[in-house]
Amino acid sequence: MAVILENKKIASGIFMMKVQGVSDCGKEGQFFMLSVNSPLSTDPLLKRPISIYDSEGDTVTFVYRVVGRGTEILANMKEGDTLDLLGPLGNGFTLYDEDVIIIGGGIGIAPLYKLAREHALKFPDKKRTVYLGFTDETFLLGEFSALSNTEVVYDVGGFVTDKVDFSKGTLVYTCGPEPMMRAVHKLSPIKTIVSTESRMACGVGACLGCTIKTINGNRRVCKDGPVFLGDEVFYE
Amino acid sequence: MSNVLETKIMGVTLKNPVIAASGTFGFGEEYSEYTDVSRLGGISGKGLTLNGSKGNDGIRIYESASGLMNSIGLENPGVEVFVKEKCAVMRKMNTAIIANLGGHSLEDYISGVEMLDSADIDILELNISCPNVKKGGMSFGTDPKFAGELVARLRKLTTKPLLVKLTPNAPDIVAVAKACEDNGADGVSLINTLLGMAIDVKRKKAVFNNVYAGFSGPAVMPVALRMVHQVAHSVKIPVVGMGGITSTEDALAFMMAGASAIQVGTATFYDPDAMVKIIQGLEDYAIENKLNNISEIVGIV
Repeated sequence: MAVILENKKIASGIFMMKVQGVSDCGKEGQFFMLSVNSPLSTDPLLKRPISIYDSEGDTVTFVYRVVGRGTEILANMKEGDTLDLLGPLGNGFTLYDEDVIIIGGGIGIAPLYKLAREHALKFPDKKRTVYLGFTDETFLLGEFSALSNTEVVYDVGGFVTDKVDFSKGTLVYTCGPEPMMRAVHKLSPIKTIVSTESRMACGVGACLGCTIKTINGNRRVCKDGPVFLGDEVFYE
Repeated sequence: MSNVLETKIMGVTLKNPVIAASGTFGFGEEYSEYTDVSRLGGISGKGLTLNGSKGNDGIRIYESASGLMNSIGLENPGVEVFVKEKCAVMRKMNTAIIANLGGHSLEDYISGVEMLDSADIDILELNISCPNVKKGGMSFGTDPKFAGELVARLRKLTTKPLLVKLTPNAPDIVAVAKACEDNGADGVSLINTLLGMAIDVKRKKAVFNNVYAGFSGPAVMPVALRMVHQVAHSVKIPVVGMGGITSTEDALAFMMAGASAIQVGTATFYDPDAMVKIIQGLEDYAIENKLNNISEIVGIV
């Protein structure tokens, strides 16, 4: 059980929730399954997979978009409420000692912050070029811009992929809507790492509800992913 | 530890009557990190088909009020991989191993049973009830005549305890259960998922590529409990009850309705410790009520 320290709206339909009391706060690209029902209630039944926006020590911060009943309930939780969560889950990103290009779209931006921050900590001399695409309203721009040696380019309402200069780095990380990631992978002349999303029941690899097709056969987003090579996922 | 929960069914002794339901627990490995699998009475592994399957395309999981629909489509590595790799891993978990076998044809079932007969498993659960595969699957389980013939044929091929998993989608589940009993089944387990449906009204389309999907979770429990009660009062072989069990109270209800053991599935998804909590709860109940063994409540309603 974790305790909610803060749960605030940061843009239209986008919330930031910070919780404390997590025994393992996880690494960049991992996620937690968050309970959205009250104890002894079975509705909504399943926990919701939400990626780590940032984490340190025993605190984890999630940035999430309200898309349905579960996230609506999350958004209504208050400071001091307890939250039952399972995780950290999934493989997460691997950090490389290279200049990197980070491309996020919509709520897919959330897990890229810890990635960029940890990369900046581990490889301060390397350059990070971050491209963020928004539908109508920006969020988290200040957070990304505050990172050292990090350039932030953004787009509202168009295709952020049109703005990407692939000569800025030697490796691409991307997370966002599937068509965007597919476009990034198609345009990218360099190694591209994608973070995928799927409906999940268990989050630990047992139910096979989140399976996606890859060049290496079926893979579970929750356990084998959510991070895959672009070549593995977008092979068709 | 006390023996108050020790459960003898079909010639097999289980530590307790709580079993992980097929398709919800992998082969035990995934959950061993999140719960003490050695506490369980048994694990029914992911449903196997002879040559394995990649499962269904499209959305596979969809939530409803206190329920869950799935259209996994029996994604599994096949009987051979199970026998050669998974069995040994499961054996180390110190719990009873139940292999769950489905099939698309009589020939598939025959080959599968032959391979599993020599495998290191404790119980063979025959799935004649999967609603999510187009060929075979559930069709063997809806007609008492087909079910009886299948069980008779497979009974001759194995000395393993044969537990037949029944579908609630049969017009007369009691008749199917009796046909299984008459043809040599050692026990029946029920219910597999009900057939459900979801529609994405924005897209004006069914959510699942197969249109219909298997419906489970707390929402189905009253139906499952009624069917377990009907079947348990009609056959002499043990009944393993399941369908929406999430708590000790639910487990007790199924046992009182006539289930000698129970399986837990969907509940594990939102609480990996659900079964361990139920086991503890059953033990507390048995002690509080001064039972020598939990089996004393089986079928009292």
